[in-house]
Amino acid sequence: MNGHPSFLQLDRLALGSADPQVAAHVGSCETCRAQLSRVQQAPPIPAWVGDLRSAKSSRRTWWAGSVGALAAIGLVLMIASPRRGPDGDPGAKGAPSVAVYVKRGDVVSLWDGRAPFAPGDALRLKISPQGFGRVAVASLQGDTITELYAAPVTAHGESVLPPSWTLDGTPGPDVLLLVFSHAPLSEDGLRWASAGLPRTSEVWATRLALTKSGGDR
Amino acid sequence: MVDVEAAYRRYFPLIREKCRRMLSDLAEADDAAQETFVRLWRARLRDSDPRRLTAWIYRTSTRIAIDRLRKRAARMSMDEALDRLAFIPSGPDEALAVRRALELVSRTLPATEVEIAVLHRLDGLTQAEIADVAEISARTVRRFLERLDKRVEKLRKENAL
Repeated sequence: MNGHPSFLQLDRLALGSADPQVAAHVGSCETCRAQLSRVQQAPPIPAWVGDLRSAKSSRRTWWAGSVGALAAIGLVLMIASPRRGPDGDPGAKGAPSVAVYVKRGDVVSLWDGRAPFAPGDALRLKISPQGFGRVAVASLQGDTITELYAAPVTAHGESVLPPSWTLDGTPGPDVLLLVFSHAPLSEDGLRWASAGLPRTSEVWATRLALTKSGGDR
Repeated sequence: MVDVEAAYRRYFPLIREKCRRMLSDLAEADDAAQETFVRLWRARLRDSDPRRLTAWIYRTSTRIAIDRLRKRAARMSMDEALDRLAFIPSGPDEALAVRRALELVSRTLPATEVEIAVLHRLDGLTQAEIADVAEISARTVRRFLERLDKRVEKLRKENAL
């Protein structure tokens, strides 16, 4: 890089989060200042951006960003327990599982696998990877897969995933895909996992269909 | 809460620059940038910590670009592509050559290796930064890059036969 910071560092600086050394370098480097200027130059707003705003209330994207931690304490019901481990490994060690915690108002409870959710419910996932080193969470909307979270996880024991998500008011069940793996998965990999729900020693996937009671509260 | 127009003004320029580094066709790069921004908006990540958000943008836009690269027809010979992938570009012309090379090898190499190749060869990320973005260890990144070099060399030999 000839002493220049990477594009990633410059982009982080543009968003207000950077190493002071990067900021100092940009102050004295015309090339990097020019790059920074390009990514800080506000473009005209195209029509499709307005479409995103108007689609906000009707689209089926219900997973919101972090809304604060849930006190995920209580008994763990393994909602997505495997029945098999075709290659032996997961089955032999016990297969991955996931529990869903629901925060409604000030009350946190463990989802029983059947009760409908309500708009405004905040969800958080507790997982038991059983030897897998990564987890990916995605929402499925027709043919669209949106990765919500992907990260390395502690392979053994249980852990609560950092993000929580809030259900919106659109009616109908929403589908969540969870994939445990050893290596990061591309979008094609997630699509493949969603289609086949593999349960092997390499990849283990499950879907959660979350039914909502519907209507606004 | 950031509204969609504010989010667009804040994030789209850097997403577009990232996509233009990966895709030689400007219109396609802008399409990839639009797809990345739409996903960002729908995933409601726009209020996230900048480090986490930029990592997500790099990861997601790279995967979107790779999908597009794989759907394209090759526009250069394998020989030429492998030669171009052997170095990190130092200017716009060389970057264009690497982009075209990636179009070709993206059909042959595993997606993860192409993703790391993009982050390393086109974005100029360090191994530690790639590890941050791709959410893998620096050791794994180093292993992937070594494997990439070996695969490129192997493809080069096969193509020479």
